[in-house]
Amino acid sequence: MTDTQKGANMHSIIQAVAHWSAQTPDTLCAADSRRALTYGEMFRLAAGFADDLISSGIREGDRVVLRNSQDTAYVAATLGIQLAGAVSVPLEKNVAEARIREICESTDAVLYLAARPWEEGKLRQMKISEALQHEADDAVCAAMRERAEQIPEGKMAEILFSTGTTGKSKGIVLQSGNNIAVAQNIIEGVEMKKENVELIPIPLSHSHALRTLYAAMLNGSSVVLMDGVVFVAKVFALMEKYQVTAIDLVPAALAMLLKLAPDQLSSWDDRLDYVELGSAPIPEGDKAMLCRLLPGTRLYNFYGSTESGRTCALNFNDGVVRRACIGKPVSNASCEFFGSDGKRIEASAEHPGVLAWRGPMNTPGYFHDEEKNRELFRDGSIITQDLAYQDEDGMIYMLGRQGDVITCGGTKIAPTEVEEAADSIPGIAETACVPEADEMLGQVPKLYYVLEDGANLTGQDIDEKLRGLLEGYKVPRTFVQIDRLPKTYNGKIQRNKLK
Amino acid sequence: MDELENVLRTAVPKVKDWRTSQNYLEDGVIDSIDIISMVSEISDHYDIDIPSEEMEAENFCSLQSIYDMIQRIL
Repeated sequence: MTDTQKGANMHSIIQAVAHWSAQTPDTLCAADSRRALTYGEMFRLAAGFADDLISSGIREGDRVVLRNSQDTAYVAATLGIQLAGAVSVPLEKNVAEARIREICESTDAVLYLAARPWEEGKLRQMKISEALQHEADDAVCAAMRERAEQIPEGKMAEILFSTGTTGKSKGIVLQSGNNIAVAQNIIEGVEMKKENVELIPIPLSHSHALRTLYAAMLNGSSVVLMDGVVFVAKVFALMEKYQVTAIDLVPAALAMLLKLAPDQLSSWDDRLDYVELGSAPIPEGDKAMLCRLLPGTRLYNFYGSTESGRTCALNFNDGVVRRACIGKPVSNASCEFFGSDGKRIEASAEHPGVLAWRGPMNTPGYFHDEEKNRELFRDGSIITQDLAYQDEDGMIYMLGRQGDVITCGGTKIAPTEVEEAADSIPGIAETACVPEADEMLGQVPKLYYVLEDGANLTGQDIDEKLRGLLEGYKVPRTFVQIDRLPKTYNGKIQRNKLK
Repeated sequence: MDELENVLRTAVPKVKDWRTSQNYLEDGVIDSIDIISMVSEISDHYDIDIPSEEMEAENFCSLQSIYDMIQRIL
């Protein structure tokens, strides 16, 4: 049986880890700067921790809030919680007290796991390092292996909370089968091999990195965990130590690597199979620089959301320029488009539709939030806010978020197209294009721009250059220079703050 | 040291006190994006390139450790 066929028979990630712990027990599962755990060791620790949790009264479906420590203990704890039948609720490493309280209360959590105790302390607490304390013996391992086999696809595995810059966070429920399907999407999207060793230097509390971890574990391959890329000496030392062949990044981490160690990154071109990116759009300048530094490496940009993960992948280093393209849907995912009247349409470049997804990666819904669930689904598909269309080759092209697309005198302008053109002008570091109200046309484009160090461009200079790159109606009416674009931690531009 | 403090103030204006903490990252005084701003400002001000082998957490944990790193590079 091939690895892929095996993956198709799995119902949960812990079942896959149990499988590999028997098949390839000495293969590296996960390493961090302090320790390395093989599949055999990882399953014994997860089984031991699950056994401890069950003995201490944790029951099927109980919610366990788990604060990210970005190391092997976090991986073992996540697997142990899910093996015990409980539901893991990841929290960011640098989470604010108010958010811990909000999430513990809204999920009715019974246990809080973290590197350090939470001072408020009404809830039962454990140190996350306890997940590494107890290796299960053979008898417990055998019982836990059987338990892992019995976990159904429909079992709630985790609740992922959106970071939410405004208002209350949304808790997205993921079942065991959803995690398997997303992991398959990634394995297919990047053509992951069993021998791959992937560096994950971005937060495991966030769906993007967590799912890369799951993909590696479904595939029986290896991951190396790091807390960020800013300390590049350590990054490359760890890459060397574990002979890394792939890297998972978000745009903000990519930007740091490009700034701090472009030459060192480039020296890895013949050793890397691929770099995968996702979670936010990558600035065109960074994409181009990465292609220049790693000409022989596959460079993937993933499209997806926590609700419907990793549905499209595009290798943007194959020599073909495809503006605004997000790639082809992976096998698990099928897309459809809705018009402004809420009915299905055949979307085209002239008449884009709202993109929606169908497939086993789709969340069953938000935790205890029927109102939001009604907004999330349309005819059984998960509806996005993205305006897009699919061409005859199956490639999907995205114009932008529904609220971000600029309707200028009835014609739609993709802010990304304006930004890509502006970003290509020498001296411009990055830009954000947003709608500005206009009495005559309804909306017109407005451009915020950040200059590179030492550059000296005025709005008028940019206007002149853009007229050679874009149709006249797409050239912004207003130009505003700012020091830094407002962004979320993973590099997504916070357009609302610019409108 | 006063000069360096002014450079860091320019790089990360939100931080008012650079002297109390001896572990900026652990204490949540700065994050990784702030370090990028600090690297840019230090490079410009002292006209140096911080080599990647100096990009270690220990070199960015206090005013003294940053000062020592700059002295090594100058």
